[in-house]
Amino acid sequence: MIKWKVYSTAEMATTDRTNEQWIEELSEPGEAQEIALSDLRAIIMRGLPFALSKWLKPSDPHFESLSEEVAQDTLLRVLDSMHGFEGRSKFTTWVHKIAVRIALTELRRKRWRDVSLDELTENAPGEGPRGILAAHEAGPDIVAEQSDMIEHLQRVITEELTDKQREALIATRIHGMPMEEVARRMGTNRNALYKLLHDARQRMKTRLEEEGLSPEDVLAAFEAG
Amino acid sequence: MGQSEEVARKLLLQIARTQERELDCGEVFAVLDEYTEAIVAGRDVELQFALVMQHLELCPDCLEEYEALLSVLQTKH
Repeated sequence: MIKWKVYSTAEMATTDRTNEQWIEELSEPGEAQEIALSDLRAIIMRGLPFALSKWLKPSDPHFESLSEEVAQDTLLRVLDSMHGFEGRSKFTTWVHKIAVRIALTELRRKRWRDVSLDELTENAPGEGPRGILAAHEAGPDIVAEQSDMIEHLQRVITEELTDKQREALIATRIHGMPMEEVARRMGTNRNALYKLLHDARQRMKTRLEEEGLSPEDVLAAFEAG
Repeated sequence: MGQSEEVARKLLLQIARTQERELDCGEVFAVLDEYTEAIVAGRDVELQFALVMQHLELCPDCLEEYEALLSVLQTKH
């Protein structure tokens, strides 16, 4: 038996669906699904100005078309992966999460569209190929301990990390390139990139500890500055 | 502080926070809705979400996504 739930406009405005209701109404094509999708779209659109407040304002000319695109893609993703919703949060929270990911991925892609990995990781003139730290200016008040530590850290980076790890480190940590942007250019994915960076951090940590230097000790040299 | 000291300092902070077992971005994304709701509800997250929090300290992208979701949930609309 098909159960139709038809809400009056007033009811729709005041009635929150339970997770079960959302799933049920979105599951089968038909009028109930159309209404549910429409309501969900409105919910997504209401959340986006807050989600994207650090990127662009609703008054920005690009905001409207981006919202539309994000809402559409989110609804598609929701319908596609609804079976995987485990109900450990509100359905609408889960949907907002997807919308946030889709929106930020797109904004990041646009912002970094014209940036290649090479231009970020290329050597500064006169610098060695692996000079992650040396490529930057030391401050005028740099003390001997800090200078030594930086050289030391640079040596650890040069000796312990692979070329890929150095490249990933420079792009993400120094230039702030988003994970997905770096991953795509390196021909990998975000999770694999995270693991690559995690491994790099572990190698640096192990090496420092082997030399009797805990990261905290080393940090202390910089806190004073 | 000059740039190289700042870069070194940030890197060392990251190294100091590094643990043997860390979640990747996908694992964090999977529970981000649950985690953010817990934060909004004022529930204690230290026990259940320690690894999530550790990842957010080390991953600016996931942190940004968390903060965006938090903004959405914290605003009554």
